[in-house]
Amino acid sequence: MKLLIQALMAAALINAGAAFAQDATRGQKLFDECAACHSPDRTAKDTVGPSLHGVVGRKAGEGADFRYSPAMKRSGITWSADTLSNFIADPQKLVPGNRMPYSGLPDAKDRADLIAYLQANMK
Amino acid sequence: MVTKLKEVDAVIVGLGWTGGILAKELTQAGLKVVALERGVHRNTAEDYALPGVRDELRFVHRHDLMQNPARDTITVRNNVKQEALPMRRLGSFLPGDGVGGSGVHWSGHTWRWTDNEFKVRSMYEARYGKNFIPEDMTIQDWGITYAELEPYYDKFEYVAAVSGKAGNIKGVIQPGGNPFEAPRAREYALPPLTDIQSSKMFSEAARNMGYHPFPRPSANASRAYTNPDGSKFGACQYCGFCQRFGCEANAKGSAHITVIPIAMASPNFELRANSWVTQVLKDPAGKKVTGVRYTNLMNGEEYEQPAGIVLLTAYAINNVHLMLLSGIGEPYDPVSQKGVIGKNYCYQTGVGANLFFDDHNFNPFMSAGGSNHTIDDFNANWDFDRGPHGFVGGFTIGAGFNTSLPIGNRPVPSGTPAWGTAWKAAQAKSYQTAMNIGSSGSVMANRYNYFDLDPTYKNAFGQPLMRMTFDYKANEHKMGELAAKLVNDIAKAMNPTSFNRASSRQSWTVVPYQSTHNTGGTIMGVNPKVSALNKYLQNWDYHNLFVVGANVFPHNGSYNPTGPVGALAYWTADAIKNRYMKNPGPLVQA
Amino acid sequence: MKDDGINRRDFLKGAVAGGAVATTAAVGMTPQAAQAQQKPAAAPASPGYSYLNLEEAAFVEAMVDHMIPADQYSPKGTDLGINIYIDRALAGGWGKGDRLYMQGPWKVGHPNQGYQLPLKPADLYRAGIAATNAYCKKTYGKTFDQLPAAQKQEVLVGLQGNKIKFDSGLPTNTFFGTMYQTVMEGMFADPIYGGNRNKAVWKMIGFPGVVAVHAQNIEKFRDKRYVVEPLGIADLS
Repeated sequence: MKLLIQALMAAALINAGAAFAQDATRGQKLFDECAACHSPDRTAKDTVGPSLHGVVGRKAGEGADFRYSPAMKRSGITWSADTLSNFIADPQKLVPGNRMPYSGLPDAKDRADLIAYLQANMK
Repeated sequence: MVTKLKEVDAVIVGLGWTGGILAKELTQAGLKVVALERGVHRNTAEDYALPGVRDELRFVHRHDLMQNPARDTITVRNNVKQEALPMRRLGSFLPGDGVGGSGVHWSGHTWRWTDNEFKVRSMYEARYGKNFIPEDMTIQDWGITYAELEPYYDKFEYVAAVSGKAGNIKGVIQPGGNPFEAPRAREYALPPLTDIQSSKMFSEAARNMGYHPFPRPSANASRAYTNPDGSKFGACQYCGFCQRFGCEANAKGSAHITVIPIAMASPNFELRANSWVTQVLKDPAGKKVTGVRYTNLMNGEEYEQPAGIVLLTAYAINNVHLMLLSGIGEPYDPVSQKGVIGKNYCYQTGVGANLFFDDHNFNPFMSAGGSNHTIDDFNANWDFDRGPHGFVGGFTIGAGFNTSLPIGNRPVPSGTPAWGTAWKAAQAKSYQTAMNIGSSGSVMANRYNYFDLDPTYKNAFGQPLMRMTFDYKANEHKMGELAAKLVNDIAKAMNPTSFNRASSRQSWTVVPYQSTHNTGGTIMGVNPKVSALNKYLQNWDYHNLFVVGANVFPHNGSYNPTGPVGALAYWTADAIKNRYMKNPGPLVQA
Repeated sequence: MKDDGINRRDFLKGAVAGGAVATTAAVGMTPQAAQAQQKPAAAPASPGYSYLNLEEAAFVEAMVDHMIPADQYSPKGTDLGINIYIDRALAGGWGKGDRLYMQGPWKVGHPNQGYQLPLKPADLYRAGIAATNAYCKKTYGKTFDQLPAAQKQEVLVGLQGNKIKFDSGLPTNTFFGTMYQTVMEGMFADPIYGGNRNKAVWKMIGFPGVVAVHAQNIEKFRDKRYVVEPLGIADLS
């Protein structure tokens, strides 16, 4: 019974997530927050942070031609909408000692839209 | 053996803010431009990234981004009777080198200097009479007006991501801004930075005393920003490592992330780093300069780079040095007061008080370069009557934190032992519970404060060092005394447990650090008798030579200099593009 | 807050630091002081000196332990590695005057003209230690490191206030100023330079170190103390 309730709640949460009606277009605008360091292009070079092309599904600290911090490499995270949202909410909380100079995007809707954009930006 | 290279349209000497602005503007106008930078080429991704950038010892105390005095320095003395000796290590000021220049490691404070400075002599004479200005105070009008420069201030502020609150938009006073500023066309590029606790407390006290505090305008992006050229800024993280450091978040306005990459993307532009210019070359007829000579620091080879236009855009001191080394214009002589090159060197003055509290915690390590609230009641405020005080100029007073790191910034109450458990106890308590109120004051030009070539000491290229003769005069002492009194009054009003009183600086000394705001030496002005450059920063003698930087200021104000330095670079770029290129020759008839 | 990796790294560094402590502890230390130091580890692994000779090392160890005693605020100077910091600073580019204009002629000049000695910092340090020990032997019959605390204090105060004059003509306050500067650097610089071991001094004052994303902390911690385990450069390397 308890498990069932948890499952229902989880489903409700997912639905709630969907109810945000993630707006990738708005997310693209929000990407300005990241654009000083990250590029959405696959072929980005000489940027301060790694390219975020196709980041969803990537293992943290791998891929993209970039020197990741040891903290990121050993985090064991695979980037999903959830882990990305957790990370962007407070990067030092999820991966302490990572090198990204960013204090976080506190608004859940902003994060959802931003991640929707990153998910759409896979090709 | 000097290798002569192919002529280019323009050669730029020094690639910081001014060189970067001119490089971008002139390449976009179609000129072939070569920039010679004596330092190395660094970038954010490799050189200013975490964790290496968080190294106070390396960047603040070992001067990693600064010029190396082992290779070239200046000699210093307080007056003409003294023998000048080399500044053997950096101290009082810290000129940068490398691509991006001092703009990489500045704090971002960006002010608009007003007609109080540009018309200094005429305004003071009109209000107080000719006798108010001492005979040896060689201040003069700049030949430019605030109204002329306003659009260029605006341009620079929007390029550099300046965060602030306007105080005067087209003559309408704006709440929250500096009511004494000159009218601006529009708001700042970005809203002001988040107030830190120390600034907030200072503002409350100052407001209660009838003053007009406002957030200091600063090129620290208060939010993510794309400037009009498309350069991207991240939001400032208030990391507390600003002054002396490159910004790892690309949140600080710097030429290396704005104008320089744009120039570098142009096929018209070439950067040669590690290239030390030793001389500007002149044609025998004495009407034009023909290029520059430089040494490639990677192999010691010498080159001559011919150019249609020569732009000196190095640090202020280095620009003056190169003019003197090249024999351009008549060197200034303080006895006869003839000559112009080296004239009117100025610095700044300042006082500060440390306040110690039992009931507050300031987190000094959380701050932007510009986390500061300031009052301008004794500076841009022309209603402040200097008459009873007997000085020309003014001073700002402000409070906040900027790069308050533990090796260098650990005030303890006066009388605390310098070591031992008692010292540690004070240190453990004060680091987070002490704050500072500081004042920065203008320095008026004086007949005996100047640059020339040193008769004795040489640099690594066998050339004479430049000699700086400078001291504070009665004008600065009077101003410093009033500033110290006012700082102490505000400190008292803030009701700290104790405070170390501010006191006026007496004599200039080469240690410790004071400010990298050196001005003058190749000043702009209304005619070639009194100045080296016309109002477009064009040399009066050689019309294809432009010299850009704080070295063009005929005196020094209390504000940080980068605002007018950046604005004047755009102003000069426009003059070259729109007028000089169409009809090369003097832009102002002597 | 910290993940396992960082804890493990800290643990490893602590073990090495503890080793150094154990080594220096063997050299003439009071039982109280030995007690005051943190977690002496079994394996001795002194980082060793690359510039200081035996007499200089003894001087520097005694000086930093006197200036920075073990107390409730921090371990003592040698346990913080300040002696190691100083040795490395003198052996490295700074000690060798890599950013010092070293061409003559040499003149005494006015204090406003700044440092004018024909000595690189490492030379100045060496000469200053020799001169201080000569003074101590003449005055007390012992070198500085052998003096009781009260006399060490007298000597340091005398150097600081320029009351002691060196026979060699070396300016006392210039030596003291350089020495004091290096003690402060060894205290407060990042631990990668050998001092501030275990970030103990940053903990003492509450400096958080290299991770500094405070855009949201300004309001969150307004007028409140921000307490985190400090991280140094090595923790993110």
